[in-house]
Amino acid sequence: MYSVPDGYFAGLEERLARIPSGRQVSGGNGLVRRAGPYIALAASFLLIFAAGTAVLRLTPGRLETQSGISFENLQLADLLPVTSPDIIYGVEDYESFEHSVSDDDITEYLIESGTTIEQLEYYYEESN
Amino acid sequence: MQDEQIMELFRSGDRERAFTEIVKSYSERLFWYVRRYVCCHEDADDLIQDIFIKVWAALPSFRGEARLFTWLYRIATNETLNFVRRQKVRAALNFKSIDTELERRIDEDPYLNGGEAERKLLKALQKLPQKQRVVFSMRYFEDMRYEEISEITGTSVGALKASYHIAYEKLKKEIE
Repeated sequence: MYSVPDGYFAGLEERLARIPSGRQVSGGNGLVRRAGPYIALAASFLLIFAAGTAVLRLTPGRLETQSGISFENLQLADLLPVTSPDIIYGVEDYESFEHSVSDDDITEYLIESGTTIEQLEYYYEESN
Repeated sequence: MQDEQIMELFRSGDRERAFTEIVKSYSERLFWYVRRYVCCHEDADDLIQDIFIKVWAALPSFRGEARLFTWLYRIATNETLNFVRRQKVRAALNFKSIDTELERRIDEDPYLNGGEAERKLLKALQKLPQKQRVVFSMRYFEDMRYEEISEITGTSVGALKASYHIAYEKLKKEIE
């Protein structure tokens, strides 16, 4: 039913055979190789925790003296209703922020996140 | 090289040589398998490369519990269905009718040698639901036994037979 260009399969085998050399697969101890990603993840969390702790230890009580904002004021701020997204995001021009994400970005995100045709159809029906 | 010999190479630790032998034994066969799912030679070429990249990446975790043949077809099927799904979502997001687009590509495919009947069959195949399409392709084009298809897809033989029958009737109605 189908044909291929002359010499296609010979060329295909050559290209596919180069995959191992193009992909860096680490050898050595299998246990280390398998545990490596988990160790890296744990190390990342430890680093974030250490950095956060260091920041907290280095800045005790400075917030009050810098801008007159007290911890009690911050607690109170959480209770106040926020009706404008500008306050949350600190964006002066909300419309331009909204449009900084391109349609191509949205398209790629929807494709890679596994959105199905049925979900898209539902979304379009709801938005129209 | 037979699958058992490739598995021996793999078990002995020579994964790169095992992969090379898998490429020699299966690249053409898997190419023809995925070719019927996509509408042009270039897509099939991209897809077969993606599949073998996945095979190489997954080889270290292959325990040999399934047969090599089953394992390879499972990867190929999953990658192909993902590829087709991404095409359809991309077309939907661009407000294009995917059916019209696929039919146009089938008509314009310079590597499709079949007559009108083959074109009609391929166009009708594009419209089948995924599971029916997979079963039909494996049974009709790859001439696989239901037991083999069951191993690859994880679906019971009875369900596969039912799917095949439904797909066959739909295609027959579409082509007539």
